[in-house]
Amino acid sequence: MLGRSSLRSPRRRRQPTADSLFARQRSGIYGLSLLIVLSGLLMVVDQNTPWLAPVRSVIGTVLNPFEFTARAPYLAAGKVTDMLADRVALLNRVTALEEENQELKGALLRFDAIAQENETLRELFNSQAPLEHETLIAELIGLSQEPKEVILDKGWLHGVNVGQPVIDAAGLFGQVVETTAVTSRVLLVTDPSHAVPVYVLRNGVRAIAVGDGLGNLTLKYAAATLDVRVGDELNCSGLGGRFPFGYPVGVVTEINQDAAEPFLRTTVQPRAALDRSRHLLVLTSIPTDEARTEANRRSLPLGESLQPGSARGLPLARESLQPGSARGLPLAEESRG
Amino acid sequence: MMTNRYALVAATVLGALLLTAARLPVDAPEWLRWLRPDWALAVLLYWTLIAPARLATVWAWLMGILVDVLYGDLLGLHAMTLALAVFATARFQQRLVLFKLLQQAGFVAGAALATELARALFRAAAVGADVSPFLLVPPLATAAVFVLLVVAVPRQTKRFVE
Repeated sequence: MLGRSSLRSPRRRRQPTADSLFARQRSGIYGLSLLIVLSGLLMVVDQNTPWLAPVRSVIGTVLNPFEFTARAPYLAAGKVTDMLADRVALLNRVTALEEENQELKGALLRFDAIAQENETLRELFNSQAPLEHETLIAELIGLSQEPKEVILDKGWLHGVNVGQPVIDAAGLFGQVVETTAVTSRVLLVTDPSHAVPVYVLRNGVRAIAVGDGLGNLTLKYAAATLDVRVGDELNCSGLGGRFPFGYPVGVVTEINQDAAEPFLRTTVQPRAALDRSRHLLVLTSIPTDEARTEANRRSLPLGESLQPGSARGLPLARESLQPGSARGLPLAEESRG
Repeated sequence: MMTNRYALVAATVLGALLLTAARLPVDAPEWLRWLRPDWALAVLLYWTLIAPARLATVWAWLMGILVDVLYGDLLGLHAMTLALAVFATARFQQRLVLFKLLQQAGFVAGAALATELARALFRAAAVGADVSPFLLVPPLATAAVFVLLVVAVPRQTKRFVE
């Protein structure tokens, strides 16, 4: 083992065929203890800090060939299916997609006009939050159940970074928690360690939606008096700064009020098709933490009184500026950093 | 001869990593994932039984780190459990090697279950994930892989040490 026992070589003389790697040892309890302590340390650091993210990223990039080799049969199968696909079926599909494309373009015409108007109004209010985001289409290449994550086929080489939100055609899907050169891991909104600041579309009431680990979300610390009903739509409130304002998150499907409990028990069904979508959009132009802090400082006159000058004070100030931020919660977004 | 052995060890270890990296297709049925063996554990225990390496525990730990990254698990979780399982196996190797294949497979299943349970408990403590009763199934698959290794790997290489 490590240290002492590895020096204990005389035993090997009785086994002339055995080389150093395959020789037997008497005990390695010290080495084992060391390894266990090391593992424990790693786990604690990994759980509580983002320090190990680069280590993961490097090892993951080294292991990328494994992932791709393992994926090759599926890719080949997909190619074969494409080749064998019925011509008529393909033509039908193209027609359907073209129609859908036309419809979407039509809707987008209006959206452009409205977005323009909104931009002008925002300029009047001196608000700096950009409405549009650069997106990157990524394909889902794998799933993991615990924690609830999916693996995408784009990594930091393509501009994917940890913390970027991921959406599908219907709503918020999750956020990137780990990247290698050409793959990335996305934590789903339904994972218990995932939290999104949301607001109720009907009345603007703010809340925080946390995954329940069972395929739904639930509103955390929702006071019994909170004005929320079954059927309410929840959208990203943009308050945490990580998820941009306006993306649909889910629909409230169930509310239970137990008189013995101070908080409502709510069930929110996610809008995104978490178990069906294969093509997802990574929002790549979300500002980094530093840029956001800078923007806050410039746009909010309150900033100066809250931030005591030094750059070290900024992260704290950001939390106090945004009380609804999920970052302020113990089981906040970055917990799996 | 020597290089052959190393090549074989390397091939099985790389194969185990490859199978660890392999993910079920997105539309695979849910129950399929419960049949998924712990490839790394099966290979490590196989080599520890057949030819206990001097630094087996360290190798197991390093392989565990790779598995952790592949699974996106808490870094160090697989490393710790694999190192423990390999250590225990190496400790009783001389006894285990005399067992019949079925008994050895039983031991592997037990070790797999222990590691699986340990990981589930750690995850439950760290992230709050639920412990599923289906946890009992993968160890059987792991034992099956072990038996397959014993049967399939060429005989001559089994005379590593003795």
